[in-house]
Amino acid sequence: MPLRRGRPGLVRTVGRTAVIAGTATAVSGRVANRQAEKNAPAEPQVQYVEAPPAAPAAEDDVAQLEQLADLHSKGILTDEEFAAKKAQILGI
Amino acid sequence: MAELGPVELLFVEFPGNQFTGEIIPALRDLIDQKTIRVLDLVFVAKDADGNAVGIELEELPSDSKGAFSELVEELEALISEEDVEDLAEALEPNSSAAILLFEHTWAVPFRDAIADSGGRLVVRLPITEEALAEIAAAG
Repeated sequence: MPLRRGRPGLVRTVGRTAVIAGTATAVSGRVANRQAEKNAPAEPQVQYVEAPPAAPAAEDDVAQLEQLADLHSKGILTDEEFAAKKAQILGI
Repeated sequence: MAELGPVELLFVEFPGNQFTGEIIPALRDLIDQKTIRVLDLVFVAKDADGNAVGIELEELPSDSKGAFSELVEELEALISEEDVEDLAEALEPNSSAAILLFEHTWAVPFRDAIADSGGRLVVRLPITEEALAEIAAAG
């Protein structure tokens, strides 16, 4: 086939330039790499030592504090009395 | 090859060593509607022993030659001898094939619209039937 001799083939040129130009083969290659990373064995789990939970404020304490604040705002308790009682309730 | 639409190569096998030409009306319609334009056309025949030979359009038997000649205004020798040899390896013994190189002329306005809007066609990837079948089977 004299007219067709001597020039590079379309099939091989497409195969070669597809990688260079970043078309299908390269894209699928990058996708394949990402898949491999996803499927890689998981990092070892980091063990967290849990701190002992802080003592939760009891509902009674909250009600007491509210009453205390009320008495304080009405001037029945002084600032010091309020602060002292509040500290007592909170256990601090 | 200035400003061609997307170009595609098809390698179509026919059983037996003759071209029945039934695909010609279908291609004729596509060409008349300016959907595609045939750039190059060459044929391959493989005998029972597996020997393959490339056949130019002008070398076809006259009725096939006449029918296929209607499809192409001006052949450019873009399909190389190396392509014919490479593709012929996929051909079954005692069969023939057409290598069709065509332009997707329908895609030109779309391609121009992408360029005009500042877009960039990054990847064009035909999805094979095999790939679709595998994905469908995977549910």
